[in-house]
Amino acid sequence: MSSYLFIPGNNPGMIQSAHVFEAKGIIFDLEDAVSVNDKDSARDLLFEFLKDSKLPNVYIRINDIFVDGKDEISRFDKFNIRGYMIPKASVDVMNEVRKYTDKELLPIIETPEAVLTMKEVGEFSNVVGMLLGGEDLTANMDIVRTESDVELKYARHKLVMVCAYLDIDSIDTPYTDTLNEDGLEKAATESKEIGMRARSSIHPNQVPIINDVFRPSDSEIEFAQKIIKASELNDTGVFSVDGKMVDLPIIIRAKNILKKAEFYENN
Amino acid sequence: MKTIKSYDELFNLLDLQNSITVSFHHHLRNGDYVLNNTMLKLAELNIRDITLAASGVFPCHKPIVPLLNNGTISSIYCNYLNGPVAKAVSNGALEGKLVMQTHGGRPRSIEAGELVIDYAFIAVSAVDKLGNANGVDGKTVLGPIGYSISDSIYAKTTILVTDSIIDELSFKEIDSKNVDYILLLDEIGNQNLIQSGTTTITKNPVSLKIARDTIKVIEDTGYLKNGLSFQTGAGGTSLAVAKYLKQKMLDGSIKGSFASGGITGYIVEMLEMGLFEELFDVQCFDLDAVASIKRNKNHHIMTASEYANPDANPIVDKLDIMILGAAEIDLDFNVNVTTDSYGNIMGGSGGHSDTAAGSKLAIVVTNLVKARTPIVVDKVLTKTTPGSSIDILVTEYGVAVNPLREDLILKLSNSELNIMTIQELRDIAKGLVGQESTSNRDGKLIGYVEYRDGSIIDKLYSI
Repeated sequence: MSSYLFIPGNNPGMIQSAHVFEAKGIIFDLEDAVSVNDKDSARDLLFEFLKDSKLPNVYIRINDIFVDGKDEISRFDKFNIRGYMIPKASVDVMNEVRKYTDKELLPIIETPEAVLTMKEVGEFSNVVGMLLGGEDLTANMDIVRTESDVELKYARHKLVMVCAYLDIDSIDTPYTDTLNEDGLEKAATESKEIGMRARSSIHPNQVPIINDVFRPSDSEIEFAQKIIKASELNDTGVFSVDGKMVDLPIIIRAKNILKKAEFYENN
Repeated sequence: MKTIKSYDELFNLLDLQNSITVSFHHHLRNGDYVLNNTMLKLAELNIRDITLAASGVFPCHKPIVPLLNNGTISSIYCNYLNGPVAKAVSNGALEGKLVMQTHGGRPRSIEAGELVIDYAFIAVSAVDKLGNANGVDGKTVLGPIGYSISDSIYAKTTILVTDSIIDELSFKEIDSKNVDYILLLDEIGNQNLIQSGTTTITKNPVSLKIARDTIKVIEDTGYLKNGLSFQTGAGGTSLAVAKYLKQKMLDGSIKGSFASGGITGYIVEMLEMGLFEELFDVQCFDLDAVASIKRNKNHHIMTASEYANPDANPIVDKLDIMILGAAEIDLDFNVNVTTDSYGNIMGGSGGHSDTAAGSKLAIVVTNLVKARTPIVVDKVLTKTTPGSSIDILVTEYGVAVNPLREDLILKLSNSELNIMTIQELRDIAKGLVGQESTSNRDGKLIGYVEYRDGSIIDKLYSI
């Protein structure tokens, strides 16, 4: 999936329109987006909605597993949801979570401890991806966020490596300037270039931009098709397409591009 | 031609009787002073049983509500009615009848002699020394005054109301040969309130999704091509469609033939980028559009008759794509933009029926439900535009094609859009908000919805 959209669990209009926003993953948020006073009514709202929901890609960001999170899992686990986004993930947190559910898990890497134990967190069964929580991580370390994300460089690159090793989704932190479409496009492009498989978003208007960035372009698809066709006609290990050297890694990448393109077409 | 400087002086010259018909245009929109001042002065003279033929009535016209209640104004003809006057009419304040016309039907009826105007009070931004006038020069700029031209020609007496007499006009819209009097006042309106509705592209994600899907409809039905002609409204979603269309045209190096209608600065930008060869303008929705008329020789003004009169080979008949709104749309694709679902008058066709009838691809864009009110209903409470004119409905839940358009159904059969029947959309709406209660329409008959050809397509009742 390329885009994950956070939707506040106490916003009925947004919840009802969730299917409209073309996000590959919907995260109904019961944690940071909902004030303490609203959490009970948000849970009730989400409960009613999920009774009849046929949305295929729903996750719920629960609250602290050691406080309310376990009750939330108990309440929602019977519904047709993909799984849960786990805040302030750590090995201890993940050990606790798996006592309550077998559904998919998306731990959020948002503490120094989580950054340092990323591989161990990601190795838990049912983890299908990990999200970098840039705002909480930098707040934790008393760092000011910048447009260039230099303060997150280490954590981002490590997340990409660990997730690639574990073959799970690496999901970049949300771009918080919701009015800056050019800035988002640049940031999402950078996410893709460093190897992130997806970017999360906090406003529905960000989703089409993220999807467009991560979707293989027409020219990428066309070139990939040329490579595959040429590979079927060539029995040498290395050959050339449009003046560019093609060997096995390039062929594998071309196949992945076509696979991704097919995924976008069907979803 | 003598310039008169007060209503008192003017009225001394006119043969004012009971039961006259007086007309106004709506180019001053919610910044209009002329309609109120004129009608209140007529009321002071105890003129009664007046038929008010105003092309549009806005919230700023609240001061004339007492004139409905006391019988000064007994009947109203208009194309758009909103605000306190609409509320008063919905509550049965008119002794006579309300006739809701269309932007094309109004000049048709004037030119055909069906709507006979005794006195046309035409607000203009500038008059020259010969008595010619326009809406683009002078102090209080309105933009082209297309909705007043038939009035100026056919009214028994034409009075220009202005705050600027100048030496020379950029061009004339009203010919002095049709003018009987010039009334020069200190002010004709508040320019800051003339800008219509919203001229800002929406940021609402649901509306943007609808706009994106609308562009896919245009693409998949084969209308996105060189030479296309296009018109959209001033609302947020309509402008978002223009935004996405602009990008598609740039990406595909597509040049359109013309854009038309009420013109905004956004459409002017498309002209100046070379995306359209011409603009045909019956009214300007903002001052950017007004400024364009003087600097762009391909930005043409047109009269309401040239725009939409079905008997005058109008521009709407040459239009490819029209983007429309709806307060309600029913299973036969009939559209209501005249009343809300309780029967309160809150708008009117304007150019809705005209453009739907004339265009090759009439697309209604709307949320499926708004708050707890369904937009797709079993049967509209008031029919403004007949379903035979509406081709496609785009909502955030899916796209419905009018079964009468088998050609479009075929073209969209392989589309990646979520194509559904309108019945399926209706079922989703009902699933979300339940079966709505509707007005019984058992109030007193207060008026009629007159289609562009003069036929009556629905009745209006008090609430």
